[in-house]
Amino acid sequence: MANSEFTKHPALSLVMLLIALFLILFLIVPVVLVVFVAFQDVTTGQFTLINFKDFFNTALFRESFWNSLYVGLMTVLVASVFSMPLAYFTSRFEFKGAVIVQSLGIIPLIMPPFVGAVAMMMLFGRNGSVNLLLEEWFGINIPFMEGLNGVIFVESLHYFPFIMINLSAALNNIDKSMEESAQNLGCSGFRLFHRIVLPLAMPGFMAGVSLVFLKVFDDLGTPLLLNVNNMLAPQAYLRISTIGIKDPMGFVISVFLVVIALASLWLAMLALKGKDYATVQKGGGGLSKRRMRPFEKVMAWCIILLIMVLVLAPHFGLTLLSFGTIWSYSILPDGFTLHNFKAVFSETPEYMTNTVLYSFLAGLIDVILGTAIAYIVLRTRLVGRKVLDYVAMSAVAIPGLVIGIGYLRTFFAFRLPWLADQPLATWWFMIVIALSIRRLPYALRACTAALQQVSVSLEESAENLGAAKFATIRKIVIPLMAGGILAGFVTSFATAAVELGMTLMLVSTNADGPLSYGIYVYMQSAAGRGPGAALGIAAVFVVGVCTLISHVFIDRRQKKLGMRQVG
Amino acid sequence: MNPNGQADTSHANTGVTLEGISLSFGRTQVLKGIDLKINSGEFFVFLGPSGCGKTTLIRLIAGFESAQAGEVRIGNQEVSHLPPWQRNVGMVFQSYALWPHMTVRKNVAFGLEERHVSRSEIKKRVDDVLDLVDLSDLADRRPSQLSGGQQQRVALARTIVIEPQVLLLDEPLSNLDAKLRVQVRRELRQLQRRLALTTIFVTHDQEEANTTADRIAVLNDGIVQQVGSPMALYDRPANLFVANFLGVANVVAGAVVAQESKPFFRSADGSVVVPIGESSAGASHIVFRPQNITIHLSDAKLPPGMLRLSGRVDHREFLGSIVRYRVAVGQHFLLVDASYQRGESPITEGTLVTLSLNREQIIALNQ
Repeated sequence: MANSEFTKHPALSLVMLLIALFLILFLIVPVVLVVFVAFQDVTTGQFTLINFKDFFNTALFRESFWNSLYVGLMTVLVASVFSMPLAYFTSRFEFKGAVIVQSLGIIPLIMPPFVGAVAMMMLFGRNGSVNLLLEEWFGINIPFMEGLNGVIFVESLHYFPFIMINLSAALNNIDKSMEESAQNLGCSGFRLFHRIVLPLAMPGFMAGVSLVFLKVFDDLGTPLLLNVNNMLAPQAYLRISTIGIKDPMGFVISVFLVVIALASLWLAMLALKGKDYATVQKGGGGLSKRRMRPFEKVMAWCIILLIMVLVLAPHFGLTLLSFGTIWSYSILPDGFTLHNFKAVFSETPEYMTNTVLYSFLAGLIDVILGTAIAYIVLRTRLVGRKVLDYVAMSAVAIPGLVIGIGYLRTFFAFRLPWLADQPLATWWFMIVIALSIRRLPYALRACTAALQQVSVSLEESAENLGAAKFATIRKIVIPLMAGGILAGFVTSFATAAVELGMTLMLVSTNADGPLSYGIYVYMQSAAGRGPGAALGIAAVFVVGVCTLISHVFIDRRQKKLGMRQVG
Repeated sequence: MNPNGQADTSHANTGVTLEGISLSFGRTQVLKGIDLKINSGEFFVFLGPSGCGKTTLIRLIAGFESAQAGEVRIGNQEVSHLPPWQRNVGMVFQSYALWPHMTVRKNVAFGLEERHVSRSEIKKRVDDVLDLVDLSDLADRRPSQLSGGQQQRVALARTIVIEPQVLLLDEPLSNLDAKLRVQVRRELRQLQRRLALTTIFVTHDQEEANTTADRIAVLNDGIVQQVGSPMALYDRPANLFVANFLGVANVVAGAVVAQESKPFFRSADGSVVVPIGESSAGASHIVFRPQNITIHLSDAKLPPGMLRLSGRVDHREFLGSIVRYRVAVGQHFLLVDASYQRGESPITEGTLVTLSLNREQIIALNQ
C-alpha cells in the first residue's frame, strides 16, 4: 500500500523527504542536543545527573526556578482578573463596548511585552508618572514595577487577551437552555454562574491559561529589560553569554523551560479531554443576553475604560519616550523632539533593513513549507505525513531561547570558508532559519485551514480535464489558498519581526541585528531609551501596517471568491 | 407542605389559567390575546406549525418570557411577576439541556440541591426517580455517554424529581427517531397518569398530539384556533386551518343554494353539489376526509342513500396500507383513500370512476 502511494506521488515524496530533513536538521537535532548536553558530564562526556544536582545546589538557580513559576502563576491570576469581567460583559449583555473589547485581542500580537517594558517603568516605576502623581496627591507610592511585580504587571497586561478571547468563545458556546433549565429548577444569580456557567466555560479558560503561562515562563526579553535577572530564562541567557557555550547550566535551564512548556500544554489538553462542552444547539446560541440597566452600563464602561487605559499604557509610554527629550523624575518628558527617530534611522538603519529581510525570508520559507505540509497531510496518504505535521507544530512548545542555544551548540563547529571561516551558527542566515522554524506552526495552521476550504472536487475536475498534478496545484490549489497563505505569511512575518529570545543568542555583531535586538541594545542605557523607543514605535508600525493590509486584502479576496472565512 | 418546602401538589389545584395574554418581540406580535384554561391533572397539548407562538407560550408559563398584557395563574396564584426560579414549574427542553459537566445523578439532584433538601432525602428521591425512568444503572454516566432516548429520560427525571406543580414539555420527542418516539410518548402518557401531573406538551406533530392529549389547543399566528379533545377537533373543526392541520382534508369552496326548497352546497363550477343541513346556511366551504369516500369503477352498482360524484383518476400513490387516489371532479381534485389488500390490482390512472360519500361525513364551514 505504502509503495503505491510513493509511486503515485513521486515528486511529493521527494518534497516530503526534503522537509523532513530540514526539520530534523534545524529543529530536532538542536533541541535533542540541548537535552543531551544537560545530561552530559562536561569533562568526560558520560551520562550524568550532576548538572541537575548542581542546579538545585545553587541558591540563585533555586530562587530563579521559583521566581519563574511564581511570575507565571501570578500573571495567569492577574490576567484572569482582567479577562473575566470583559468576557462576561461581551457574552452576557447586549453591549456596544463589545467591539472594542474584542479588538483588544490583537494588541499582544502587534507588540511583544519587552518593547513596552521600559516605557512602563517610566509610567509606573518608583519615580514614574503615576507614582509621582500619587505621592503628590495622597503621599503614597505603589510598587507596581518593583522586581517581579514589574514582570507580572507588564506580562499580564500584554497576554490577558489570550485568556479573554478563549473565555468569551467558551461562554458563547454555552446554549441558552443550559442556563434556563437551571433557572427552571430553582437556581439563579451567583449560584447559577458558579454551578453552571463557570464549569462549562472552564475548558476554554484553561486553554487560555496554559497559553499565557507558557509564553510568560519562556519570556526572556521582559525580565532582562526590567533588569530582573533571578528568573530561569535570563539565567540561561546570562550563563551562556558570559561563561560560554560549554557551560552546562544554560542547557539544564533549557531542559526545564522545555519540560514546563510541554507540561503546561499537556495539562491543558488533559483539562480539555472529553469535555467538548460546546452545547449550542442548531438555531440556538450563546448565553441569554440582556440589556444593561443604566447603572450597570456606567459600571461596565468604567471597568472597560480602566482596562483599556492599562492596556494602552505601554504604547502610550513608548510614544512619549520616543518623542521625548529627557524624561526622569517627572510626570512627562521635559520636551518633545524628532531627534530620536532621526538618530535611529541615520545611525542604525541596518536594524530596520535586517528585520524586513529576515522576517520576509522567514515568512516565505514558512508559507512554502506550510503549503507543502498541508497538501501532503490533507491530500496524500504518504507514510509519516502525520508525524511531519506534529513535528512542525511542536515548535510552538519550544522556547526561542532554547532553539537559540541549540543552534549555537550544534552549528558552532561548522565553519564557512567563504566568510573567513566564520562559524555557521553566527551567520545571519541562521537567524532566518531559526525564525522560520519557530514561526512555522502559525503559517502551517493558516495554510491547513485554507486548504481545508478548497474542495477536492475542484482539483479532480482540473485533473479530469487533463491537468497534471503540479499544474493543478499551481493553477487551482494555490490561487484558491492565497488568502490563507497570505495570512500565514503575515503572522509569521509580524511575529518574527519582534522575536527576541532567539535573536539575542544568535546575533554575533550589531550589524546583523534586527529591530528587537536593536531595541534591547538601546534600552540598556538611560541615554538609549529615546532611540530604543523610536525603534519600538517603528516595529509596532511595521507589524501593525502589515497586519492591517493583509486583513483588508484577505477580506476583499474572500468576498470576491464568495468564500466564507473560517477561524 | 412536604419536606422540600413546596406546596403539596397531589390534591391542590394545579390548573393553569391564561387570560388575555399578548406578547410582542419588537414589532412582531407573537401572541394575540390568548385565553386558555388547563385543568388540574390534565394532559394538554399546544399544537401548531412552527412560528405559531406555542413555544413562546410555554416559555411564558415557565417565566422565560414576559407578556405585555394578560395574567398567568397556576392554581389560584398569579405568577406573572415571579422569576423562573421561584415558580414551581418543571420544563423539559427540546434539546434536553443536560449539563455535560455533571453525571446523570448530579443532573437529577440539581433541583433538589437548589431547594436545600437534606442529603439523605435527595439520595432517596433521585434513586426513586431514576428507577421510575429505568436509568438506575446509568446514574454515574455523563450525558454525552447516553443515547438520545436515555438523555430524554434524564431530562424528564430531572424535572419531575422536584415535584413541580406543572410539567412543561417543549417538543420533547423531536430529537428521537421515529420508532422510539412512539414508545416514549406512550411511556410519557402512562407516567403522567400515574403522577396525575398537570402537563402541557408543545408539538407541531398532530399524531403526537392526538395520541397523548386529553385536550388540544390548536394555535396559529398567535391565536388559539380551537380547543377540544382530539376527536372533537377532527370531527368538528372550527375552521379551515384546524381542518387542514389535523389530518388530510378535501376542501371544496362554494355556496349554499336552494334546490326544490332544500339547502344544497354547490361548488363554483357546479361539479360538486351535495345536500346540506339546515343549520349550515352560511357555509362557504365543505370539508370531508379521504377515508370517508369510497371509490368505484363507474359501472359498479352503488349502495342506496349515498351521495355520488363522478370523476377521473388523475394520479395514485401507494402508501402501504392504503392507496391514495387523486380524482378530478370538475375543476376539483379530491383525495380518496382505498384500503389495500394484498395482491389487489389498483385502478389505473385515466379510468372514469364514481365516488360515494355518506352525507354525515360532510363538514360545513363558513370561513
